[in-house]
Amino acid sequence: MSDTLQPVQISRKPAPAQGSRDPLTADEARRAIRAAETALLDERRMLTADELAELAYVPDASVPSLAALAHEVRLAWCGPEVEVEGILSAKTGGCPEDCHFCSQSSKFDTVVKATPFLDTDEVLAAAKETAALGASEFCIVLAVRGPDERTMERLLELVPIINGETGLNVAVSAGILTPEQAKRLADGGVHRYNHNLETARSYFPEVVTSHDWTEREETCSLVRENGMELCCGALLGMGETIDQRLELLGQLREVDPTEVPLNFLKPMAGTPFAHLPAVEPLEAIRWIALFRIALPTVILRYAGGREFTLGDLQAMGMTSGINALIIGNYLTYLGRSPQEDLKMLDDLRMPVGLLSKVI
Amino acid sequence: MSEATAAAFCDGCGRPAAECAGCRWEYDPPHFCSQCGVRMAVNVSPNGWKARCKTHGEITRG
Repeated sequence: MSDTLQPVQISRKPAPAQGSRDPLTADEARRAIRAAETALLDERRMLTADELAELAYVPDASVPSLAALAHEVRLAWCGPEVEVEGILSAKTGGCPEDCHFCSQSSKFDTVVKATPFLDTDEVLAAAKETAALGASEFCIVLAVRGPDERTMERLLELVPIINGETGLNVAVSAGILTPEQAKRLADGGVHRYNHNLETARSYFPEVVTSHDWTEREETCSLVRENGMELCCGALLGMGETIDQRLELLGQLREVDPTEVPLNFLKPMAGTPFAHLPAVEPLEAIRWIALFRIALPTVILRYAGGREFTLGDLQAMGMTSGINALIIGNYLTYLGRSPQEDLKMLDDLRMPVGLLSKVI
Repeated sequence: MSEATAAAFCDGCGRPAAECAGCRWEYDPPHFCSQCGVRMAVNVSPNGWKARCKTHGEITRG
């Protein structure tokens, strides 16, 4: 590791994702959005892949209309509540995997210095901070390929303590699981398990080389088979194309998660993706809306990178299909103040509540 | 250790203050000790953060 790092130079002009066709005309966009509204709100059916693809190519001027539809879909399929969650990196850095976006990989020279699994008191204190913010969910996140036996024992010790002392549902994110580990975590009271697909299968080898997409999909299946809720998210802005984002939406439908955390790349100094441009704010809104329209039943959570990507448009995301958020800080960097987020929800008349997947 | 101590090093990249006037993004915690420029161990929690320099001690927020 060097003693200094080259700071990230954020591109001044954020770049849109590459598409494979021209945008729709304004008339075509209006017709496509109306057709989607009929399907999702009147016929109450999921859109086909072709219908979704058309919506991905509405012009920028139609994005607010797309967002308005996504908000209606969210209200009709999920209700008005917003689920609030806190997350904690309980074991930071030193990860043997090479996810090119991640500052916690030991393969890259980043600002993150590895620290061991936090003490029980420290994890519990963070859970109490989360509960005090009005959250219903607390996720313990570990920078590991998968849990070893010592990690499993720590998790199984922590989950009932946190649940018992705070009343929070406890989620875990600890990488790739074996069938036996999935069963033990489910039996141990883990409410939800996070394992992101991150990107489309066809683009995954550009993002991670130390494990493959299938391993992620298999862990997602194990989570569901063992009765835990599956939290399976995406990270946009890694150089994937529009068509690969659509491919990812199809693959997310197949793994059938309860929750989809939607992250936007915040380039991290020292990682292979440090040079990538930011996702444009309006493009982020477009994809929040498309995720909701493609996945009408899921808990769609604002996750990492929203402050960086959306800036002043964060409230607009809440009216574009989002119905959950991570409150407070993220794993290795900070979020805006919880009070700002709670005020935003209050101003939008969005009640904080407990959510589960709509069947 | 106080964050108000005169910074000899940028706490975002670890360079001497004369070379970097401060590149840390507002949503990043400090990662390098502002007194010696050495990388710190940082733990972020939902409502705060803690950064430890093995020579100059701990800074906490929240």
